[in-house]
Amino acid sequence: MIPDGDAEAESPSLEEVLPAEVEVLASELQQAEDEGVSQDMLEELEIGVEKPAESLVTMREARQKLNDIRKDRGFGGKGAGKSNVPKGKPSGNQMTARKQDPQHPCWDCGQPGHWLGDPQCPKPGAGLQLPANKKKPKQVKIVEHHAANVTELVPDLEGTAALDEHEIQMAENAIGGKTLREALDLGCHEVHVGGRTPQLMSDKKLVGALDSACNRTCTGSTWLHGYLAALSDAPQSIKDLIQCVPEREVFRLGNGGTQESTRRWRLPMMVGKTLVCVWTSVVQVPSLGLLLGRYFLDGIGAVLSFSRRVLRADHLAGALIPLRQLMAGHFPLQLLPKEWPLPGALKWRKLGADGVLECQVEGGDWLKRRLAALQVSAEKQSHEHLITEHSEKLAHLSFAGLPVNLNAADGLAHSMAQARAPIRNSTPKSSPLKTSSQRLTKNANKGRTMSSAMGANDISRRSQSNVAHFRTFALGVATTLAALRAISLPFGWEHKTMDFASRDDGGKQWTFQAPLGPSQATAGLHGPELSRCTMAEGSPWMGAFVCGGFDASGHVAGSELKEDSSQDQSRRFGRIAARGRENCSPRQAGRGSTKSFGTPWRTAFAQRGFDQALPPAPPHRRFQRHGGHLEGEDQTHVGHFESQPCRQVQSKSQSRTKYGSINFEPVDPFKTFARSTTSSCDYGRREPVVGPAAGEIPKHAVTDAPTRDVFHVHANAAPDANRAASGSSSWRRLDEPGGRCLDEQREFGATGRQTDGIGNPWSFDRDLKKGQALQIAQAWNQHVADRKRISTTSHAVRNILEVEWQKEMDSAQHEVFITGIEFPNPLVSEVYTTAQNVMKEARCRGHGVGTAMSLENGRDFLKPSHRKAAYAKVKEEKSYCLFGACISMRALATPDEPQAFI
Amino acid sequence: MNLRPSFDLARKRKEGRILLRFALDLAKLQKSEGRHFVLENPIPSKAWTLPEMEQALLDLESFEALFDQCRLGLCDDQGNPHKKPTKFCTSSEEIAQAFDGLRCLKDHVHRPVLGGSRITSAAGIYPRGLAKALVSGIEAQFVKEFKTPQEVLMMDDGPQPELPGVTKADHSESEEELVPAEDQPKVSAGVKCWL
Repeated sequence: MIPDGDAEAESPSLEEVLPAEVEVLASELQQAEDEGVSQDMLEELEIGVEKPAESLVTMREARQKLNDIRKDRGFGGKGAGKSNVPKGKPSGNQMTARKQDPQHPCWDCGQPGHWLGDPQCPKPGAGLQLPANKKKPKQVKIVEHHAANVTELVPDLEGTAALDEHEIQMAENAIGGKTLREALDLGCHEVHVGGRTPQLMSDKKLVGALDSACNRTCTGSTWLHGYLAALSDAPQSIKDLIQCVPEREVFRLGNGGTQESTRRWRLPMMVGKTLVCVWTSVVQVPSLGLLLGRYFLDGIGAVLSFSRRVLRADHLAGALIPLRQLMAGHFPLQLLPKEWPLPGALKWRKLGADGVLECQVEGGDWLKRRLAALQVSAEKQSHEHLITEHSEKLAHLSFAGLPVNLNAADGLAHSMAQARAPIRNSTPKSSPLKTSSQRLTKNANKGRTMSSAMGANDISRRSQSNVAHFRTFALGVATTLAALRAISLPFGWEHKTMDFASRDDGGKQWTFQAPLGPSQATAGLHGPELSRCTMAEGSPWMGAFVCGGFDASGHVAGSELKEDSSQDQSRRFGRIAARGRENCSPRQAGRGSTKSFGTPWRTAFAQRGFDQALPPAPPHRRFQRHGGHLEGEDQTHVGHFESQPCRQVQSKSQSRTKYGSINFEPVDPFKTFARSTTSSCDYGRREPVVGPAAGEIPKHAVTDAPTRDVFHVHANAAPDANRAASGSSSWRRLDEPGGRCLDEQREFGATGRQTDGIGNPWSFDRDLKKGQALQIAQAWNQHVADRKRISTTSHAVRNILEVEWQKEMDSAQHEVFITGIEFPNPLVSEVYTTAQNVMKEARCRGHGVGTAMSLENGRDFLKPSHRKAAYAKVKEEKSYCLFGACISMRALATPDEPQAFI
Repeated sequence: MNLRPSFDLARKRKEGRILLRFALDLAKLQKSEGRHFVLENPIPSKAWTLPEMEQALLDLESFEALFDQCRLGLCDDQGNPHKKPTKFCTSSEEIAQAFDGLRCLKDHVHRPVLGGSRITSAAGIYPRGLAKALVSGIEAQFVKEFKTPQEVLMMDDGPQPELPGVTKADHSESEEELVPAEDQPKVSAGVKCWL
């Protein structure tokens, strides 16, 4: 039975069907559970349902968000265009038809065919057919030439209240030769007579309201006139900063209306203790104060604390500026100082978007701020970081031109491929709803694209200068370094380049495209992603590497490798590419699927063995950042690599390709890499990490958890101490919160290290226990989740810490530090004294006092009974302090003891 | 000051010792119950050198404070300052610190406390400054020793640390007991808090 069109049109939407289906499925799942169906199966089904449900929620949220945005931006308000026509209002032909309807005549003349306001109306403004509730007299006078000494009087009309508002449009145009329309366009403004004239609120005068909802800075004419009047008292040097240029910008106001600015003023003002000039557009809205928009806030580097109500301008003096709140809710910024400072001799430079701000800064500072602004704008696109410290180290090593043992990279890619949830799977049929553990077990040996494993990288994690440096250096040594670049690219070194490449999926910005011809660029590599990983022409090592190794998308041409490893590389590449295009659908080829190529790249690498691919450098070799050592070293690698028959290599290590049991014999001490990797796990330590000596064996080998027991990390050169100290500090710092996982790694490494009989502590060969792979995957997922949580810049982290600190300080200020202390009562008693001044003073201070005991009070302590009574009294009263003068002891002084005399 | 020592000096000294012992008994009582005492006498007084006084002060772990009362406003009815060097022995560290070192600045002329009981009696009355400083010292001592109930629970009974700048009486000899043994209060050196 085929439904007809109407039935199809009335069929419920997906949004309506999905909840019902989910409910039905839930009941059936419950029933299946009661019938004894296995929990695993049910869980898998439930997980499969969760995704569409989440999609539904996401769709609803998106719609709600869209509605909110439309509401916030004033769509549907006054002057919003056709899209804002109220629902039900006729438009187009319908409106024309209605006009012809005699039931809808013109309200002015009562004739059909046109409506009120149309030019066809013979009696405009008559209002003959106007409904009673809309009959309001309106008087409009147009004065073409308005003299200054003429006062227009608006007489009261009968039957109308005097407070009704009339609009008068006045054209202020002293220049002759213009028509009335031109004059109105140029200088007309509304004058509200006898009504509620909107005025500038008193609290808006001479202050600027911080308004992040508006990009540009604008103000009303009234505010401007007031501010200019206030500037009349300023020194001449300040007045000279005032400028005015014509401008035509449309501003949408809060009520939905639009206003067009005609002038843009440059006004000197004080932000904190810094003299700046702000460009502001002026619109003819008298009630509008100065709105300092987002461009201005960006320009001054504003950090606004709503809790403390302070503003910090990072790009200016940096001092905290206290804020109060306007009646409208804005935070105002005081702009007029008590005393104007004299402008300095530095050049006024524009800051912020649209040149809204001008400051006197040096050229270097200005450039830094501009770069920082660019970096901030780039941060908006930052996202997940999946660059581990492992890959970072490899990147640095490869960047420096050092030989890298690809076993480490193999394991790294392996682990990343398993941890990456929305990964591009080599098997398109695999369900995206499977958990990571399921992927781990089922897809452990399947190829994955490294580009997707690397994910999208954060461009903001490296400064612009680093990129420039990198590119300059790369162009200089392109021929040699291209091969190493091809190695390091999949491991995620130089995130920005990777990021650029992954965004447009073609890598147009990759620096090494030029040396390679188009045929070679695509040879051996899949699809459009290949262009990002081109190679230097005539680089045999690179050719062999790519042929037997992996491409930019993490795949190898394994089958081709077996067949013709000794053939010419360019021919081989061409055939591989051609075969890949034949076997793969365009989509698969574009995504670098290994369906037609078979063996994943890491398997091929495992087959090859790392020490065969890249022989270790001599132990005495040390790190050189920009030296000519690359060539000889690379040639050594190339020759060694080329000498290995691929078929033999494959047979050698085929038994080792099972996940968890890959055994790679360690090569010469990779102490430096391991050491540097270890140092990256030393959270909180900021001191520079100095590379160990060439022969030194590191005590710890810390690598990523999923790969620790699988392979070993190798490197044979000392790390750049400077890089370890400064260059890597940023990402290392950001890695700190992920310490739990790394702690596990450290544990893992401690238990996993073994020492073979040769004495190399880096040798390790054992299979993973049952369930250990799952633990590794869980730890890695946790690590990834932690990294996502801290996927931010150091600047943002610093801001967060500052806010936390300020919160703490704020809370501390409100803590009660005063504890009520009740003094003892009595506080003091006097014995042997006469005037008891001490007790009097204590009494004056509100203290309780005890009993004074002296001869004046009848206490003769020469009598035992009195002493006993006094003793008991003191014991009873428990005065906190007993003051005894012992006046009678003066009698003990004798003339023959001159020291006793005063 | 008595410029004419009586002929029965031995009797008076005996009476004085009685008073002195009683004062020390009261001081020991205060100390034993965690409270404070202040013994005042002129610096040249013979009482400070008596063995029982020295021994008692040693036992009581008292602090000494030497000062001149002219610094605290002691003067005669005509406004002439009296120096009247005075010594405090007290169990209160704060009181000792408040008074110790307040010696005459020697920027004025002292009038000796001579001329009969009219002058000497007036000089025997503590000046207002001394009373104020003493009460302030007592308050400071109490605030210093004040502890919240939680702090009291956590309070240890260790010996009090010696403070720099405050000299302790160091005497070794002792004489007869002024109070019968059964009435002698047991002094606990570790008591810090009055509460």
